[in-house]
Amino acid sequence: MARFRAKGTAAAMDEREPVVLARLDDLDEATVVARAQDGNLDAFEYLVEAYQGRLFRLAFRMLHDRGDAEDVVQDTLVACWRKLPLLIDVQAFSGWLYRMATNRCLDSLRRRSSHAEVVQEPATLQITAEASTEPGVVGDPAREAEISCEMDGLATALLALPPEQRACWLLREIHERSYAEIAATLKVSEQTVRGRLARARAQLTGKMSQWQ
Amino acid sequence: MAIDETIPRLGCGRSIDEAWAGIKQPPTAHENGCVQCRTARASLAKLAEATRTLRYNDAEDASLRPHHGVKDAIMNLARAEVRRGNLLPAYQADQGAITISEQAITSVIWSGADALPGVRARRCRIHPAPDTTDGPRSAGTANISVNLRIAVASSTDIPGTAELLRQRIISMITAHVGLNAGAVNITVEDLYDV
Repeated sequence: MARFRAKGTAAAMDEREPVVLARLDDLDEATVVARAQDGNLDAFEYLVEAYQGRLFRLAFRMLHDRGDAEDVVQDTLVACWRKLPLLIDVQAFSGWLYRMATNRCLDSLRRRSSHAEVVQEPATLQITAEASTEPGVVGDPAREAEISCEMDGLATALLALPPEQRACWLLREIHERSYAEIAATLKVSEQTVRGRLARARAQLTGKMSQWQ
Repeated sequence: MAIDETIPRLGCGRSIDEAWAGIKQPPTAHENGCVQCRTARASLAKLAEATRTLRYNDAEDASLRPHHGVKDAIMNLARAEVRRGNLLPAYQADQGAITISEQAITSVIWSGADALPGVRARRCRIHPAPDTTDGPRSAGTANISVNLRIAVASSTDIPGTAELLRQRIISMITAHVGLNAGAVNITVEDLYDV
């Protein structure tokens, strides 16, 4: 309401009400998306800020390479800007963005496997696993070390999953997307998504029991 | 695709999905008695715990963000390909015409709507009113028609608020752009909870 009063004062001085847009934080996402669709760059920048981290984490866990993950984020958000006016349902925005990013990750992995000799260096795995577990765990050093070891293990085990299973698992378990959305993203049935998830979990638990 | 839909089963015949679905509940009688189910529950619970930690740690991890150059590159491209919508004739004189972009008028409209409690202005299309599209005209007399989509707070009096919004839009367009909004069509496309 403070905003309203401030405007009233300004209007009294100038007669015309100034052109001031609401803070984007005060709007719902669908409204911000609609404004970006109409070409508003501030609204688009707000969405880039809101999604770049999430999309990067998805792409990084899919591709295990910072540069490739950054390429996916950039390609996805540039395509988002270009195709935004065509998006009919603003509520579907995040699912649409995740779909574009996931498919770019899978394309990137297909390109990699066609030039076969890209092999994951153990050294790179080590560095990223360390980087990904340092913050967020406080307290008991022994428990910290144990958790850090589990995280390394889970992150490594993930990379051994077939790409489509990995995508299912990350979208569901880390990004909390719905089965229906994951199925649409991967162009498979929900039953297939459930099957892939179950096999991903079976494989991951199998790997985890090997570490003990 | 059949293999894709197969859900792995434990030795006792239960699917790993059933075991997963139940890990937040206390074990069933079968699960208490079945060694395979107990082992599966224990390892799935461990996976669930590790998953939660990974989700939390990754989200908090400052190193798991793209370099800021990525956002700069995206925004540079968006600015280079900025969309300002249609150009609308505002004023026609013997010496030339003045046009105004749809986006500039849209900002005025959004601003008018943002100051109204319970209204969120979304997509906006503006067209020259059909009877003024050709022929010379003088300043302040060009007519436009506005189509605005909005979301309103669920407790809002929709007809009263929409009418108030229409009057605000008309007066702000006159004050800031010098055009007449002949028609302001408002579509309430969504309700939101406050």
